[in-house]
Amino acid sequence: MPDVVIIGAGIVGCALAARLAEGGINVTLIDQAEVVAGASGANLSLVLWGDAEPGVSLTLTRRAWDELPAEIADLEARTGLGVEFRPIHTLALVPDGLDPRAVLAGGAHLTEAGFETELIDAAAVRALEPAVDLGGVRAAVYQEQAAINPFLFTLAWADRARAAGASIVTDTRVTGFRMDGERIVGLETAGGPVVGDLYVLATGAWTRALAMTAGVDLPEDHIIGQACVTEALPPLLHGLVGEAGDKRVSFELEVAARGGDASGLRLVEFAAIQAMSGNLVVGQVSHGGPSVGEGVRPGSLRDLAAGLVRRLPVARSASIIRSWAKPVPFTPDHQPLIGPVPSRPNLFVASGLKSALIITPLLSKLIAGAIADGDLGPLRAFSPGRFEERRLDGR
Amino acid sequence: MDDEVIVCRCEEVTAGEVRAAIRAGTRTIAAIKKRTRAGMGLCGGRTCARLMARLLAEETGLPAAAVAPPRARPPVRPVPAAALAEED
Repeated sequence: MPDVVIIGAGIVGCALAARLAEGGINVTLIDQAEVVAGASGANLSLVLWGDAEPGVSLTLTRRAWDELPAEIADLEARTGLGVEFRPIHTLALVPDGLDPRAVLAGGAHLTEAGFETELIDAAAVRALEPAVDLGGVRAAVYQEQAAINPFLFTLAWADRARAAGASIVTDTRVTGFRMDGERIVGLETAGGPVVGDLYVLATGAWTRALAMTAGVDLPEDHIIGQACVTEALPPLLHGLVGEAGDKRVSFELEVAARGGDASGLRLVEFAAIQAMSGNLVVGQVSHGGPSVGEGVRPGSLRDLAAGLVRRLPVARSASIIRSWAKPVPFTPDHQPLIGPVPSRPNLFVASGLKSALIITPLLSKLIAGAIADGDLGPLRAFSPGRFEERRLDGR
Repeated sequence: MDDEVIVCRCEEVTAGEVRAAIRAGTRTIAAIKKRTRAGMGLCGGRTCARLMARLLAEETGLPAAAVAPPRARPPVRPVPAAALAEED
């Protein structure tokens, strides 16, 4: 059994640490900040199948969704933490100018997998969400998905990992890898070297920069996702309400194409959900990198507030109390990078997921199995080897 | 500080709950906020951040000066959505 060092205490790193430690493997999980400090906690808290790409992603998402209630019951029983998992509807408002039938057709693969996606008219939307202003909207795509508290969900996996013997080291930045030819022989950190047999990058948008210190350039870029939170309010929204858009893919492609020069690119997509605590979480303004350290831009806060006031006028006097700006990774084909890096046999990547909260309980089980017996199984579709390898040494 | 003392009035979090979070492995104010919601309310942690720092120092034996303050995130003070939306 290998000693495994996982970098990144987000949902993927924590769940994988728990699975490996429960399988008797010696695990060290290390993070530059605290548990769930990055994109795993900075999102609209959705357990979303609507993002799944056709193919293996969809098959695994279907299985993950079916297994989720039992996984969550098990997680809560083991840790004593309630993770606020609840079914909700998601409504993607289709604005004038977009063809509702075309928006619906974009989800045909979901229907085939047994996920119900239907078009409802404005009257039906009004019945579901009376507080929402439907100016310029005649239809919406209705889906029954779920929400969860992403902090508590990730913390529960971290507790479970710790209970199974994993060592979790926080506030310790990884600065690079010690190499011996193609093998990694140690991790350089702000707190001294950390040594294992296998190194896992569960580092979201930091993956590319860290892999570069091992001499490999992985095809992963990121956008900076920004959102804000209002004070706690009485019940206003029952599910997620957002505006359907068709610009996300072209936006990401342009960010990737511009590389380090993408910070001027921005995309505004309104979406809001009410947490169980009563706070409205309002997203999202995205911009290009490369900076992963900066806060929310002032103009972004304005656009988020404007979206809220337009679509939820009853919340116009609600106070905005905080915001976040977090880097969110994506890959050229919108599929994650999972598996060993071909030229670095003991470097394993688990990054670039689109909807990590739904799939991680299943994925962590499959990855732990792959690490234990060396067989990736269905995860082979996500191997970093599907892209032509770019080594920094030019070999 | 007794366990029953309310540390965060906005979210009604007690000293006992903060202590339990520290004993579960949290070592920073940012981490305590995620686990307990202390400091997540309308006041933005103006009072409770100091109390959390004190509890962290007591429980871990760290000097109070070594406890990192929570990261400041805009807006500095709560602002009504309509006022923010009209900014140039």
